[in-house]
Amino acid sequence: MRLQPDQFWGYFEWLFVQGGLLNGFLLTIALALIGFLVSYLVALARSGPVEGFYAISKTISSLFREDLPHTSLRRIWAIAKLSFKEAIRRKVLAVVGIFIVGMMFAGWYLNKQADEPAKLYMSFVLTVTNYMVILLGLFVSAFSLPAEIKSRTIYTIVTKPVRPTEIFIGRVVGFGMIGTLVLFILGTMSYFFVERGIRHQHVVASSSSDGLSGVTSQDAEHKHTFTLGEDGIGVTDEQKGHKHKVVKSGDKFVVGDPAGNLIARVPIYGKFQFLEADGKEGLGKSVGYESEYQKYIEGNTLESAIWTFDGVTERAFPTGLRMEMTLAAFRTFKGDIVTGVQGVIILRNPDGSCETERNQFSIREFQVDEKQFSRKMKGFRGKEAAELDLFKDLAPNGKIEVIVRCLDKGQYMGMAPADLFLRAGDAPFLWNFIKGYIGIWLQMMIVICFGIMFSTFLSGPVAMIATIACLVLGFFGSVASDMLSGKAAGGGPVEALIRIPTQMGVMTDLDIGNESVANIVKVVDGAIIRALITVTAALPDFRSLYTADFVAYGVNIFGGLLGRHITIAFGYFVLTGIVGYFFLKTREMAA
Amino acid sequence: MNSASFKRKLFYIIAIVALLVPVYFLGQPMVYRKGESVGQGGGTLSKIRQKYNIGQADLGDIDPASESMRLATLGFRGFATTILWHKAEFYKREQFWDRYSATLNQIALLQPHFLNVWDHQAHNLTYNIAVEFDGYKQRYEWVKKGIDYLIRGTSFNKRQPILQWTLGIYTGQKIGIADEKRQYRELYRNDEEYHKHLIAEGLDVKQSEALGPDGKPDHWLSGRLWFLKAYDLVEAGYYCKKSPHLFYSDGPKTQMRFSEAIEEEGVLDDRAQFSWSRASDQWREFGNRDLMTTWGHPVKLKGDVAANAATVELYKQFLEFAGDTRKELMNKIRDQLNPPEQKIFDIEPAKRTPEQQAILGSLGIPVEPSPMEIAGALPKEKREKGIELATQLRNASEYLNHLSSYRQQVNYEYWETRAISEQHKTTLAARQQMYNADKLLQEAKLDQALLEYDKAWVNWAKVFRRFPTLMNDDVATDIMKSIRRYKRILDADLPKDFPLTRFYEFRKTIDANTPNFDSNKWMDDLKRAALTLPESDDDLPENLNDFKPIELIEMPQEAPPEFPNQRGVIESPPSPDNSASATAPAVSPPPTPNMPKEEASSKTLEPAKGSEPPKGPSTPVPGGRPPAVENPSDSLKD
Repeated sequence: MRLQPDQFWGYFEWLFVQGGLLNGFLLTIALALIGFLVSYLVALARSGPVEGFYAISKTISSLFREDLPHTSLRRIWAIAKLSFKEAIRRKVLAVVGIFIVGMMFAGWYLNKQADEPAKLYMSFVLTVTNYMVILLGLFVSAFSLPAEIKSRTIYTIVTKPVRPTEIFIGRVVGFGMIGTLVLFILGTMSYFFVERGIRHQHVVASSSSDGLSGVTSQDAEHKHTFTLGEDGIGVTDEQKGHKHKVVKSGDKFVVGDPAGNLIARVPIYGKFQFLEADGKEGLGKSVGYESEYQKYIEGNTLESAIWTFDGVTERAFPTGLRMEMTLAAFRTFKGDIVTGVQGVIILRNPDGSCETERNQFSIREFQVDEKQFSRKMKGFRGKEAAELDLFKDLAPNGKIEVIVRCLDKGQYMGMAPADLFLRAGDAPFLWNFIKGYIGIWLQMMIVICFGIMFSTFLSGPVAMIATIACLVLGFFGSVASDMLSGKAAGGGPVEALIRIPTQMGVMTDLDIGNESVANIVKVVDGAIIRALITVTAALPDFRSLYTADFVAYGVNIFGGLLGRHITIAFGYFVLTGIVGYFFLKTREMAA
Repeated sequence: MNSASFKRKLFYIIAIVALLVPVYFLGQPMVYRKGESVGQGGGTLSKIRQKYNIGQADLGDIDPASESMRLATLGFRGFATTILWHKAEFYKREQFWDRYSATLNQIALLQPHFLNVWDHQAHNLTYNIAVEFDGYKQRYEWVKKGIDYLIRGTSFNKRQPILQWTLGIYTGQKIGIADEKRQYRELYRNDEEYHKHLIAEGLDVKQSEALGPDGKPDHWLSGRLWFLKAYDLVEAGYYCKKSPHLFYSDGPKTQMRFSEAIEEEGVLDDRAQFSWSRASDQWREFGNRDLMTTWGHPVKLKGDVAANAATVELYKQFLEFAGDTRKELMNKIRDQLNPPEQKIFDIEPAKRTPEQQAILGSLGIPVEPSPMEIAGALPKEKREKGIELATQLRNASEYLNHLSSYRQQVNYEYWETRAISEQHKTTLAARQQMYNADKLLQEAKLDQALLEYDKAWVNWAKVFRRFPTLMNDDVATDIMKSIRRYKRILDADLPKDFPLTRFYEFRKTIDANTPNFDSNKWMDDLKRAALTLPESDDDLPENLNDFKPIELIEMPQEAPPEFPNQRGVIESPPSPDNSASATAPAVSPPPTPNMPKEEASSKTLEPAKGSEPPKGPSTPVPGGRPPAVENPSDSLKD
């Protein structure tokens, strides 16, 4: 799983320090200005400059003076119920049927031999659910209002004392309810699907003569080895992301259910920095991978990766420091094939007064490597060897530094900020699962808001296409930036239209025989891409709202992140609501 | 009822029925009677499917997941595949391996009969993804994943020998030639679950032919079983897009690789001997197989001796028939040269130095009349017969060229000699002693290691004397490594009486790519001498000191100024009178029938099926890898 640094931000840090509030404010101002300008131009054409300005001012003031203060929850609820019933009538629950059919055959497409099937199963159900409810939101929201306008049933509503705000909010609530119901059903089914999919049982296939170790049977494409304590209790090794408890009673062994593949680690991430061999702050080395996610430190040098953690208290870590890492290795030569690339971990007081002795480890790539540090550790106080206390000596203020170095000469060790974290325990998996679904729910609600907003002034199909465009830009808008920066080769849309029929490779320069024409193409593309980037900036970034990976990879979704997503979704609800209000207010049918 | 609506519906119904008629005739399925594999009746499409055997069931297993996925994508299968392919590339770039693997499965389900997908992605898994893992056990698991992926491909494409052949390569070479081959081989041997899986997939890795010396399945031999499956498919008439000589060489080579591997692991008894004996049989069988060439005629790689002799005989006949005509033509050529050139021209071709050859080659005129030229210069009454003989000779020469080219590509002679030599007791003893010495060295028992090495050198000297070809390639590399270890123990230069001094010098010269060493000639002398050795190895000298020392030839930097009449570059073959002297006595190559230049040119345009034009054998490349000694066409020219 790839965590980006912005995902670590706390809610208030994002809102006030990292510019979340400011961005929202600027976006609102920009859209308000654009909206006002466009509305004024339309009103100008219709009624002339003064009357047009008056009409707009009147509409704006009616929102704040009449419609918003007098919006009735009762009427919203009535419209919501109506929308809910309408959606049921339009057989949206068929989505559930489609999902059931999909899950019945999902086993055909899911690779049971995968290293960690739980992640695969979880990703599958979350992704499918995400797409299905987004589509559901899209269809119900984009078509309902235009259909009512077309069939004139809207008159039965607007002739009543119903305000446009109530129509918009009522529809959002109504469609939100049906979406939530569907999401709940799909979520429940998904949970049991995953739970059932990864459940398996082993028996002990062979054991040592003393009965304290052995091998389990091969089931679900894997087997475990295990070692028991003198009390006859132990756990197996980790295979495919889980372990089993093994209990020996008499001559019989009982192998428990798989544990560890449906978890929600509560990670504490630290501030991260690289140090060069000369002690200066660095950026880490690139070893030539296309992906720049991880950077590397060279072995047998003083190059270090340092994480500084906060909140290391006795209360949070009563049994000692539990650390997990997903570091990478890069070998410039094969070296010792059997032994993994070696590294050391040093725990240090941030003021440098105490540090532990070097804790050597072998790298375990592409899997979570757990390290446990007890409260008392051998180390150095100044230059003197001493026994150190985790909380008194190393983290007296709750702050501690974790230093990682690579030992092997000529080999490299790779890491990103999220590749080492302290595990402060586990949250309930079910709650994390629900939080993952809240992320999906937020995406659905934004789609519903956009669908309803577009349907206030566009016909059904056009509203749907407009909403899809927002979705596509929301999911893939970053491609436009890549195109502009040249990271995505092949130029913009016009250039692509030339390259595709002429079968010109994307890595070659655009050669159409006329340099001036080629330059014009690039200029036009540049304008289109910049326009796309601008539009994208105003749209919700759906990818950032997607937190399914947290659930699949067993990481607790941070409260700050969830709060941020809820705030963003609410912001778009308000924004689309205002736009929808003005269109509803100014449409002929509402006059 | 609204009449407009009714009319519209009626029109639709009629249009549907009208469209159903051609659909019926096109798409009607065939009727298969009980016990018959050939269907009867059926629409046009069914008939085409049957004719070309391209029905789903003909291509491979029908997988419901694949079929439903293909149906579900409607007509957008290619589009979906492209998106998935991009996703897979993204996952690979970002190292999301599980997702990558899952995406590959989806691509395969969408395009189950697109061979490149299976091949490309299986290679990716086996070779590119596996190495990304630091732990060798994890790497091994990904190698298996790649192999498994390809096995799935074979079930979808039962008529594609190339997939089975590729499986042979992956199962054998990826596990057996990797840096971690010792660990991989061990893991494979003990991978009971995987053996069961392979057996379930139809590869009986527990049959006696696939078991290693410890009675457990060996990956080389498992790989060979895949090759055998591929061969069976080709024998059954299915096309394989692979050159036949390379395709068929890998089976026996795998047996040899297995033999090498067990010897490396210290199995140096009759089990190794038996394995080499099997390899030798398999290689011989391969040599006797008719292999279709890109020129459209088959060759037998083992058949070079007979072909060579026939060509020599034919050339003799031709020269006898031509009488003095060749000599007259030679004199005409001589008359065109200036005195210094004539001086060189008069030297027997085999005795000309590379410098002299270079000078003659730079003259721009042929220094040897071709048989066709000779035939054309014959008196009128003999000319027709002469041209007929010259044509036969040219065809025979071409055949030898093709044969030689194919033999070189699979290094036929080396492997033939290797398989035979490795069965010899002396070779086994030498290997055992070298293995013991290496082991003693690891245990830091230096004195004992030196003693074992000394014994090994004596035996290797005997082996090289009898099989000089082994002084090339893998065997030589292994021994050179051991000699370097030996030198390190001595902490000095090799002793003067070191039994392998000549071999050591030879390898050093070859490994340094010294351009002015005629390794072919040096090796030819040894091979010639090898034919006269006594049968028992006990009677052989215990060193190679009587071998000719390595002599470097003075190479000209550029043509000297006294030869000003350079008229462009042509290929200049050695004289037919002397060419035999440059070759081994075992199978004397024929004298060089020289084809007229224009005929040679036109021939090069003709080779069938887009293949490369036949390359005439060149003069020995000093310092290059010595070609097969029996290669008769070394002295042949187009």
